[in-house]
Amino acid sequence: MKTDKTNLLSVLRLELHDNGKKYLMWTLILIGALAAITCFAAITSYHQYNPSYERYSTNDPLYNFEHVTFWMGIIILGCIGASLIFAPLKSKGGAISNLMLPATQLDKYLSRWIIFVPAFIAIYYICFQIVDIGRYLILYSLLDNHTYLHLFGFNVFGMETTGVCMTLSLSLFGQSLFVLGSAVWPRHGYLYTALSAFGIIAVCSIAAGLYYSFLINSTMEFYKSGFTLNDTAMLWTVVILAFLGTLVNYTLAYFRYREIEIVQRW
Amino acid sequence: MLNITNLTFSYPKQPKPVIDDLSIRIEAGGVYGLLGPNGAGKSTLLYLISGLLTPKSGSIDLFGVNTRLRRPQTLQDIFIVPEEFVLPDVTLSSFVKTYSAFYPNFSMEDMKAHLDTFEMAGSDFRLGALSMGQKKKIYMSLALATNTPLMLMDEPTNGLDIPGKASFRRFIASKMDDTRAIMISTHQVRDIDQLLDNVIILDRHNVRLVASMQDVAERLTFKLSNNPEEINNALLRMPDLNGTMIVKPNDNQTETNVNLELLFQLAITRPEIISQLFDR
Repeated sequence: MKTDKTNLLSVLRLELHDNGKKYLMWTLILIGALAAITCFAAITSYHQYNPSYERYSTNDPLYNFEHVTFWMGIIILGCIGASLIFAPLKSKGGAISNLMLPATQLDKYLSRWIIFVPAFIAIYYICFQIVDIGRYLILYSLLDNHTYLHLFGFNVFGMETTGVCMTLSLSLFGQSLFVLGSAVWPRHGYLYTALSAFGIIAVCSIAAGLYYSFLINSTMEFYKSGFTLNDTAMLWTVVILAFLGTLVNYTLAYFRYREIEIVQRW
Repeated sequence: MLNITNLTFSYPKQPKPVIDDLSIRIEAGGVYGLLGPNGAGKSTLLYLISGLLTPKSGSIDLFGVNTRLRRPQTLQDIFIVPEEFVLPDVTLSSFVKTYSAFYPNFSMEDMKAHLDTFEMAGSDFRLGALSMGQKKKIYMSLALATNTPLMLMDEPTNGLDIPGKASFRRFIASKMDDTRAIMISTHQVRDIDQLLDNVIILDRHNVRLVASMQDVAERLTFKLSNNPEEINNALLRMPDLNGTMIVKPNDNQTETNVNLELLFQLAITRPEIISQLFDR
């Protein structure tokens, strides 16, 4: 058997080969957890259903709960998944296997990134839809009145395009922070990143509060000029900044991974 | 093939370097035994050669390329069998098929032959269900079948059963040719003493000896003695059930089998003698 070139696809194939069973198990657990949450919500929501409430003729009583669950899942599970991206480096044996594989560091990084970032979001979305279809079919067969029973479909996002962009960009930024955290702390990356992020947010909030109170009490002309951003401009500014921040985090994580050693020097 | 030049390395928060100004040249066509007490830096040296650690100073070049860069071409030329390793929970055939794609000189015939030597051929095992020793046999079979020019092994015989150790010696001997070098770090010197062409002895921060076994045999005599005068004049003596094992300069040009345990003791306890004899 002779091959002289390996690439991203080979590494990705190897990654799925070695961990495919684990990823399948995680997907099944995800479907199970979502199904359990949805069942619990369905029992309480449909029990409290009031047929006189007109809104339910077009909206399922579960809508609000499902939207929140969907986004919370994307954000929380996305961050947990992202913090596992460098899990093979936790043990010396795993790190040696990973680092000594004859492929570029970029290919190895991208293969894990593809699985834990875009593939995770796609699989999460598919799992959510599978659970929703299951809920719909079960309730359809159990309930007599189907007027308020709807499939979520694309409405699962629960907001307009701008809102989806903003939430998605912020969740991607959060994910990228955890990827970076995982590169810096292969062990307990999730905990350390969450603590660091909490610390940074706390410091920034205090600084912003102090700055804001300073501006209110100041006589500075620019503040009095009345310059403000409208909501749309503000929203897109946040989206662009979040995407740029995401790119920076992924780049930093790559360079950290490229230099990683089996004994951490820093 | 492999040039280690003025290599110095220290671990974080440790003031003294583990390896201090080490220079060695490894040529293809030899089995190198890397010996040293615990903490002497044997595994560290293997990791440095593999590019898994960054030297504080100095360089390690394999075929003229710095191994720390971890270029895919360089990684295709090195295979390290560490003391701790992980194997995925997949079948043997799919493991071999997937990993072999990364090594251009991989030979399936060799793989089968090595598995056969270890009496592990024939069945498609699930790797997760195997014992540590069995995993090691599979990992070493893969390692040797990749036919990388440089093979590094850290305590390869740990965890192997007695037939496994014999098989290991057999196939290391059978794999040696002029295109590859194998470096074996171990405390189990009796497992490898018949295999070695060269010996490297490390002590705290220093290289005590780099020599071919031929060179050692030409300069030193290892023998069992019951002659009190000879024992007293020996460079090193170690009581044995049948007398006293001694090391003495080879004055009469009669070569004896090198006793690695005695050589190691001599290098550690009397480095000045080794320096004098081997011009270090």
